[in-house]
Amino acid sequence: MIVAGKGGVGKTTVSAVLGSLAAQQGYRTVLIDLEERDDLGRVFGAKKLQFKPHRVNDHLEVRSLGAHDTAAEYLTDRGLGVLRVAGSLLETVTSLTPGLQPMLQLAKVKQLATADGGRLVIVDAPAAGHALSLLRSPQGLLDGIDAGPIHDQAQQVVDLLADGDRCRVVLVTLPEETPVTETVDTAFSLEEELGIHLGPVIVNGITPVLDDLVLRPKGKHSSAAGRAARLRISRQDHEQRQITRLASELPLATLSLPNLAGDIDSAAIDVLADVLADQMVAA
Amino acid sequence: MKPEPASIADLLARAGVILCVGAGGVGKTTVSAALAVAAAKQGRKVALVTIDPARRLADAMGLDGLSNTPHRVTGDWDGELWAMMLDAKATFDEMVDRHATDADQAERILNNRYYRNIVSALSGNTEFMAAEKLYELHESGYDLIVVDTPPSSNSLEFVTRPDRLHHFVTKRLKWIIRPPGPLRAVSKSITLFLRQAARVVGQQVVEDSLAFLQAFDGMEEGFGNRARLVGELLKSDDASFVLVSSARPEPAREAARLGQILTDAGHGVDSLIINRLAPDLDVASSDVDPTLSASHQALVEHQQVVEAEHAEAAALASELDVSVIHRLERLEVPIADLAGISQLAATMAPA
Repeated sequence: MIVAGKGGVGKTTVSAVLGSLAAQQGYRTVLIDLEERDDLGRVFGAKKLQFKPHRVNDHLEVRSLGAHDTAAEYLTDRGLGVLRVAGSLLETVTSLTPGLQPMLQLAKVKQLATADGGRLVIVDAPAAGHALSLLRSPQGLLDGIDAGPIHDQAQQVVDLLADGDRCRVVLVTLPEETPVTETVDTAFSLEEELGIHLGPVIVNGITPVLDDLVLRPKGKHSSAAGRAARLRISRQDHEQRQITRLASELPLATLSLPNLAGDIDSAAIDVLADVLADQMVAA
Repeated sequence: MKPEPASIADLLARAGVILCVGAGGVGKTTVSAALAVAAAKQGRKVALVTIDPARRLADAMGLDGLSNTPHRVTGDWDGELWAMMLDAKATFDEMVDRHATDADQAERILNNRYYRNIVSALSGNTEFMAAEKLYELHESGYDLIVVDTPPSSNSLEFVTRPDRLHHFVTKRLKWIIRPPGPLRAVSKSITLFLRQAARVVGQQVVEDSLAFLQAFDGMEEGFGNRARLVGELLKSDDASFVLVSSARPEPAREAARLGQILTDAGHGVDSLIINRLAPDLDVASSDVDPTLSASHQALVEHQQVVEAEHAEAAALASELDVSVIHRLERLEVPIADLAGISQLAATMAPA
């Protein structure tokens, strides 16, 4: 499962929520960070995520698949350790072929998903356009390399990405104009250009609807409560319009996550996982 | 030491180059556009370089991403506003054209399969190309260039290591086919290395890249000088960095990290713009009784957001050593046209 979306929409939060939920339901789950950032680890109490898995509980592991470590492991496993003798040589050989590093990261994801009995692998993908280049990279390599181990590896990754039973991309968006527009565009690019199957779209950061808010005629809004009510209604309506537009432009199921006050910590992840679980039961 | 600006208006009046940096989704593109418009209102000749604007903003500025050169945007200002959407590949091609010794060499490179792969896929390309374009525009008579940088995935490498791309092309790859003096004796191991590399990436890729390097021969100096000049421009007093963030914890953390990178690189942050703040309704959330009505509940929640954002913004400001901090309220309707951008410009730098 690959979690993708525009920068700032909460991909990392959603990845963490999906990972927690899957683990709660008894799936052996690995959460993957591809960019060696600290956010995903922080949520699970790991200061710095490493290539070596960080065990959260019996069912959940978090780890980072940095481009360098992943390439190094690939070469070592294939008896090509000689290429690692100097770090810069390794970088040279992998950067010699654009798209090789991301493809090797995806190949590692595939290996984690299939090795010893299989696991659910959830990937916190890079933002926006970078996610598209990540997912394009194996096809790009196939176009550039006619044969050999990399060709075969890329072919296997392309097959995995296009297999809707084994791999889905979950797009995350906010109930805002630009993120919704870009989500629709990305969805069509993924499906039409790359043949990738999409899971439900997750609309993150929705302002919880306050019932019984009354909008009094203008002029009576001088009180702070009146202004707060007006802002809240305007916000709720705006978000609702974007959610409606998303549904009309993209024929995919949607799941919603509320905007939580404060920082996203493990308690917040649990709250959001419950919200998602309830919606999935209802659906 | 570069003099600290007194206000956004002051910064706009003096800077030759402004780079807007920040996490994704904080409104960086809109803020960049507003800064450019504000400078045009001061009478300056401004070029705005955006990377990936939202469609409506692109439409508002008449950007189509087809030309890779700025085109004039007319509006209610005394100066000139020119805007362009960066095409990284075209910018790289232009560089090759510029530095090639003759048309034949340029053509050999542009048609090389390895080159075509590099340009379209080398990640980090966009920001390096933005820096390159910035330099080119700086040399062509604009008073100010405003650059909307891509979201910070590559840790501002184009600022901290402007020579990286040049280094990659000329030093690292060259090393393989033409190792430096003392290593020439071990060129046997280089041959072994190439053979190993071919086993991984395929013989053909190795051949393509060698052909590329041969075609590239003689251009390194031009490329290298250029990288040095871009680096010098970014380090000079002429260049200013504007950090844009919202007051939510995650973007603020990213902004603090970027600020630290800029400070470590000797640039510092010239201005911090905190965007999308909830408007303060001027009551303490603890003074409101949420049981009174839904409106009061909305007020309590609203003011809690205000208080949390206030704390986050204050923490970010104290972490960065920055003299100009500007706060922008969240708009109920997102800016979708030039009039909206112009209005935002007037808020940031009043005439």
